[in-house]
Amino acid sequence: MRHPSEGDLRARATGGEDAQVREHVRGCARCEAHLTQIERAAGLAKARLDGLGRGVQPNAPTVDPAKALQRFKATRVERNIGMTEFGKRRSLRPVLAGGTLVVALLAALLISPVRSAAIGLFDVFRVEKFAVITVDPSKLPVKMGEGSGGGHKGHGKLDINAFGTYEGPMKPEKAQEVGSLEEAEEVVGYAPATAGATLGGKSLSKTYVSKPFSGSYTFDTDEIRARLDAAGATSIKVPEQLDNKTFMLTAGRGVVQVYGTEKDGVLFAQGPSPELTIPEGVDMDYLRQDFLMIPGLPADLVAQIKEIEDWKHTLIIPVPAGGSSQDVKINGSEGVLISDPEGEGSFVIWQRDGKLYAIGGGISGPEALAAARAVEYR
Amino acid sequence: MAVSEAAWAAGGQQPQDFDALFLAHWAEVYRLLYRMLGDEAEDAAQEVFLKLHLKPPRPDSNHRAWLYKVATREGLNRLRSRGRQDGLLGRVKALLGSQDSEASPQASAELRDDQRAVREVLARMRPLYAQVLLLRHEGLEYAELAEALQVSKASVGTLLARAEQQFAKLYGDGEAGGGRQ
Repeated sequence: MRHPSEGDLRARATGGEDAQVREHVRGCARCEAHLTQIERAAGLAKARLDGLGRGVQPNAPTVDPAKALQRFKATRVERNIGMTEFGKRRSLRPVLAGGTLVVALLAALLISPVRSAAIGLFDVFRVEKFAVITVDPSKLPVKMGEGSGGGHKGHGKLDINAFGTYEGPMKPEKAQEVGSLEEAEEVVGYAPATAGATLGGKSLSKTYVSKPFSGSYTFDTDEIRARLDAAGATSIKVPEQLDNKTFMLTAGRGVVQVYGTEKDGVLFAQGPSPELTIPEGVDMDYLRQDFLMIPGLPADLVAQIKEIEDWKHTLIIPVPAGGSSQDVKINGSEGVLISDPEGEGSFVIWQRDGKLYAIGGGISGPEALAAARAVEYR
Repeated sequence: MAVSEAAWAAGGQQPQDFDALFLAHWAEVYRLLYRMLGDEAEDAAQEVFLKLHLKPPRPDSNHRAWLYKVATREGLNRLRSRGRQDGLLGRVKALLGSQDSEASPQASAELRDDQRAVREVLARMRPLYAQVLLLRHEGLEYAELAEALQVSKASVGTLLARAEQQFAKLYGDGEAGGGRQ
């Protein structure tokens, strides 16, 4: 007999009688050791979980189903019989801001960077091209609005766990200042490109190395459904394939150089392309279709996304309505230039050989483009 | 018609079906959440039944498995949120508050420490592992676990074994780090 699975060993460990498994374990030191480990883990978990129920007894009236149903109707249903009222009580801001987040998250999931590797059960994507779509938040199917600030968790702030569970740093970790690009190279392990001594007429002042990032998000479609329903967005379909699926985003160390002051200067940033890991069972094509079928999605937004023919290789960058953008070539590489509607600044991002580069801040579009094209790669 | 009534009607069910489900399953859902959360349990259990009210599963679904799945997810989300928002001090306060208000006065400090440690481990576990562990401990059979967690019945044993090993590892790490006496 082949080595039994962990599941078979667990069944044996918890009293299951399978003659073949028993016989195998008796003559296999490896499986015997594994069985012992499984028995210990199962015993410990059971004992500790049993302990959660010891010494604490909820009050009988709270447990009583009939009384609980009365309280439930009084506090959760009758006062909130209409979904509008219900939504108000729960504080609209997180829900509505969250509605926009759903759109943004789905847009982010449309990302589609190049499928560069398959590791086990997961697909790993990296950015290769860019496309900008303009989004007017006021035209999204779930409107932004002012919350009442009442009662529900979040209290007017967007709860990052409104649609699932986020695991990762809650704030970006502070970058480490280094003395030079050479010092940065020692930390990041690759030779950073250089943009020269000045950018937009400003002199290089500081060089930072960012910390690597790793975060994951596990979607809870029941939670998304409930929140959309509560916001009255009952016709928005929540892709069931997302349920309990964990998406992971990782990014390596980047190098950021500041020209002029950090407040109104120009930044040159570079780093390995972030990697988005898509779990097994999530079909990005279907997800995209679900997204495009959201009722009430502005036609121009749908059209913009549909226009992205090679979407599997393209990172979609949502830009608020009013901003301008154009596709650009940076020495043969795909990039995009985004300009502030007020004309106060611009931002150019491009990729080359698996790394992303960006120049932005208080610099004009033509200057940013010229600077990007003058970057020297080492 | 309220949206939730429409949702029930769309599934060919009546609002009174919700009442029947509530009466049949409230106590076990509440007890599960009470073990996980302490005095936050009623709010969490109401949230679970609110989800049932707003979006009932298909009539042919195993409602008990569905409720357990949603309840464990709700409990784990709250444990994680509690940990992030309040830090260790907040968790200790929450636990002490829970004990002061509702728990048996005989509950020892050691037991409370251990319960806190177990909740911390559950909050740190991979959500699917924590769920399968809690649901199995609640007595769900393999078939129910498979339906609730949308995994194949054949993979439940392996999932449980890995969940228990992750629990043991995290619990052991806490002991090694001096987290428990």
